Amino acid sequence: MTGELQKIQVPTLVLHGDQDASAPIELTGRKTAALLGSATLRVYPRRRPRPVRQRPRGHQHRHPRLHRRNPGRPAGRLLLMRTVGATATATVRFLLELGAYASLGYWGASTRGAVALRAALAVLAPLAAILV
Amino acid sequence: MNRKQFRPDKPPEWGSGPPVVFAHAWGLRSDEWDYQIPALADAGLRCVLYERRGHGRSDRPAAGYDFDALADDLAAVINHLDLQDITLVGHSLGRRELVRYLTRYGDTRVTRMVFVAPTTPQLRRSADNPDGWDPALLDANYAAVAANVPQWCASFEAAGPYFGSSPGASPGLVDWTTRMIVDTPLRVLLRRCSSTPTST
Repeated sequence: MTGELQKIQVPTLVLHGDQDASAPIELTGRKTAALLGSATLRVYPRRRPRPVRQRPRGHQHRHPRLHRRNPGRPAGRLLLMRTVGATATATVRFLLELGAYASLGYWGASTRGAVALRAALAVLAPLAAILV
Repeated sequence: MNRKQFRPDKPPEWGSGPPVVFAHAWGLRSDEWDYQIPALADAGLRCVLYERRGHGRSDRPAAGYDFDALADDLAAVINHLDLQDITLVGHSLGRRELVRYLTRYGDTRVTRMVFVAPTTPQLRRSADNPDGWDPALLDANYAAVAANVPQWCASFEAAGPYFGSSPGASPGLVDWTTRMIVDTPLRVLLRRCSSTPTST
């Protein structure tokens, strides 16, 4: 259709995605725009996909290319929130354990304070573990 | 001949104003423009949703799938509705009809065109298209379509983001598009498949 395209003078807008697999833009859209007498080529670039974890279950199996680029790691804000959350929980846990040892050593194992602290730890430690 | 079976008298329309005639892609039907039509009609355009023979709700004649005949069908629609100052919009295979229409009937009625992901000039490798695709690849693709259309659609999707990796390409939309292809008679799909195998 090369010769036919060259004859056309009607102003034409050519729209093409740069990820088109069935009609690669270099082979089709760009050539077509160049052959036409009066054409404007508008290229739609690849849109950034959402983080893999936010996609429906099984989606990444149908998109191996996408899967390769995002190997299952949460991105952006999600990653930041998780990092902050994990750090905070680890800190709380550490302080609780430190407090327990310090108080045991200072007051002795039989004092009331240590018993109360142990009870608090018994509640708080699983809670911390769940948060992690 | 069989061309008489094609009835251009009532293509679906939406909106009023300067006419826009849509030529859909291989294996699809005018429904593929569903998400554009409301906005275009609101913008004051008359959207003429013509469907290629063998596709969608058009007749399925046994012959007339060459581009001359397809361009004649398009001309029949345009002449019947006596459209002037037309914007022609063609997706993929659809734009080949538009090109042939212009070379056969001239551009007196057409003011402008939009080509969406055209497959022109051609996909197949040849002497004047050295960077084209290996003919063996296209022949294998043709065989895959001929053997099992749903399977072909599924394998295409499995190979990568065929329908796009953008957030807009939800599984529901992919399924909807695939169903259009599957619902098109295989004999019709194959008539235009040998030269433009993957041109949806």
